[in-house]
Amino acid sequence: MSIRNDIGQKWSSVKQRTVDKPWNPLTHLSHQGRSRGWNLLLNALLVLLLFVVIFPIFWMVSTALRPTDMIYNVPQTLLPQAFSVENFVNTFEGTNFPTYFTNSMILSVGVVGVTTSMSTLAGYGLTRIDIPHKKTFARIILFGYMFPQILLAIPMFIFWSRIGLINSHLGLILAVTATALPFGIWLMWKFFQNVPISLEESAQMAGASPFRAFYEIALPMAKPGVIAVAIFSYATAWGAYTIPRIIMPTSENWPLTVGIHMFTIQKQTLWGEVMAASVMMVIPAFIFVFALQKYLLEGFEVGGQM
Amino acid sequence: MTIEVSSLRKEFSSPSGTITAVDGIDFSIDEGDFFTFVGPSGCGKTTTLRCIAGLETPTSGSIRFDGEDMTGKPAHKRNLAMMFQNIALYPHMKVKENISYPLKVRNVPKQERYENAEEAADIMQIRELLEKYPGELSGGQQQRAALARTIVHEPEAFLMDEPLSDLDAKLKVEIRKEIQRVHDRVEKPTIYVTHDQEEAMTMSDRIAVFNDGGIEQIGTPDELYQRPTNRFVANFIGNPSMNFFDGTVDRASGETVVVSVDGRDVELRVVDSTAVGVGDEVTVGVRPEDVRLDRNDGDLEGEITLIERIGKQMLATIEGPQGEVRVTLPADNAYEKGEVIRLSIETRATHLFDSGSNDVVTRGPDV
Repeated sequence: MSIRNDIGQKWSSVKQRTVDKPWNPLTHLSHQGRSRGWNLLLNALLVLLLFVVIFPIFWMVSTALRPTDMIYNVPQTLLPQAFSVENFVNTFEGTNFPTYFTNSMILSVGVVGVTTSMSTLAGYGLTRIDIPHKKTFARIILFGYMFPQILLAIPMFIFWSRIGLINSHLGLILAVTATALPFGIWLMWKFFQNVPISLEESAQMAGASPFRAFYEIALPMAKPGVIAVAIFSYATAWGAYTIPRIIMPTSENWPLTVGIHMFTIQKQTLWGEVMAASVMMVIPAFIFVFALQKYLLEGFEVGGQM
Repeated sequence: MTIEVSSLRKEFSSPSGTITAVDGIDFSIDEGDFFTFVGPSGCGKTTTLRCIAGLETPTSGSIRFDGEDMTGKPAHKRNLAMMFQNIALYPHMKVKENISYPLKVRNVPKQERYENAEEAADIMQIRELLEKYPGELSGGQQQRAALARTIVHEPEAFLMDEPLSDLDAKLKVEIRKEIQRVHDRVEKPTIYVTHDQEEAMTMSDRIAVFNDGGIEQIGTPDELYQRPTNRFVANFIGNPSMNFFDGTVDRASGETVVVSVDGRDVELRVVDSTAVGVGDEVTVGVRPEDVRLDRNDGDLEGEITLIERIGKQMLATIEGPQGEVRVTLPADNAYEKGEVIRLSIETRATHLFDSGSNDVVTRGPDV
């Protein structure tokens, strides 16, 4: 009898774990009563990983806030001995930062706009319209996403120069959209698969046109997906380097990524300006993701109630 | 409004070829009818409903509302209301927004449509749930909200696609009553789709029994139960279902037909013995309540293999050379599982079907 009980308990604990929460290696190990040594090792590993991620950001902020003439001090201190916004002033006044920033903004707004709307429509169409060879199409889309950007950038340069899109914001927006769109479409496709078609049919029976049913019923339900695509495409655009580097030859058209890089390969590396520009580059990204994250979570809550 | 469906045909294309879901059906529904499509899954009943709704376009045939051809009209222009099997409340809208959605698309001002939603919610007794989201409601409450949504815009007809099949037995009965209450209130035609013959029998004015893309019979619940026109309907309608014995006509004269079932003669009274000829292969259909058990006396023989309670009565299953026979018994019977027993058929309450076509040929006077 005790053996049966034992097995029963083990089974029920396994069941509970699989039903209640996703499998988590850390809690799993501690639940199973593995040795403290394991836990220590894992925690140490985590701290190390965290350090690798956090330290460059810390160093970036720390360097940006030092007076310019203290940046090259050896040995260097972790925290600045004196605070100064000198680097920020120099970045604004002595470099093309404002131009680069504007270019990056134009690129991001364009890419987010085009990618989110096209992904949404394409994803919806793929789930609602009977298209032959849909699965093959999906595989090809994702295959396109796997190409290294440099492989895409070179033929793009040739095409774009033929049709006069080199050095134009529109050309860059289209090119970067092409790299963000495959994943966006795929993601929206998955999201719309989870929106039951009967909800739109029910809206149509209530008197809504098919477009209205899409707009008022399906789209709000896929909102977390739309926001995920927006965040993803923003990240792609804001961080795009290879493609703008190739199809935007003139410096006044560079986005921040290319522009900041150029700070380092002029006669000397302007570390103070590089770090200050980097800090300012991170801020919009942080604000964008932080603002949308709220809606992303809200969306998941609504989805969870279905 | 009246609904007229003629020669309706619907094909779907699939990778393995064309599938005909509905094949040339005709029927008409009168103002205020509670009309039910019943049949096994895959018989075409939902496809037919969806054609009437406008969610599917028929391959051929026509659908008329009050004589006006609606065949090509999109769903949102038909002014119908539909309840779906999966309820289909919009999870991102509050209950009151859900209920008033049909008014929103008709551009009714917010204030007015919320007032109408409250009225509909009062009828369904869910007023206190108006500010909640569908995800916070129980299954029965969700069905009530979905039902409230169908009545808010005064549709011309109600379409219900198995709305109760996901509910437990008790809730089913409760929501069934609500649906009937709504139907009686509005006096508009209701088309109700179900695979549950009991649901069909208790709710409907008229029933269409679907099978394999066609309609086997249309009639009132009584007509279908008492005068099924073929073996499929006889078997599908009624629970526990009818017993069938294959046999050959031995003699037929006057009001009497003698059928030889597994070598034993069974004498039956029928309304018209000229419908059969000697030597015809027939199937005798008899309901479980029209078979008698006796320890000594009877035409057929078998062993009781199962006795189970069905509500107030008991149902015995008897295995014999003529096949399996179901017999209803009073609860206080003295029979036991394993007993070998004799069976006799209530001679005036049988249905005779042609074994080839499965169509009814004649029946007893007391069915």
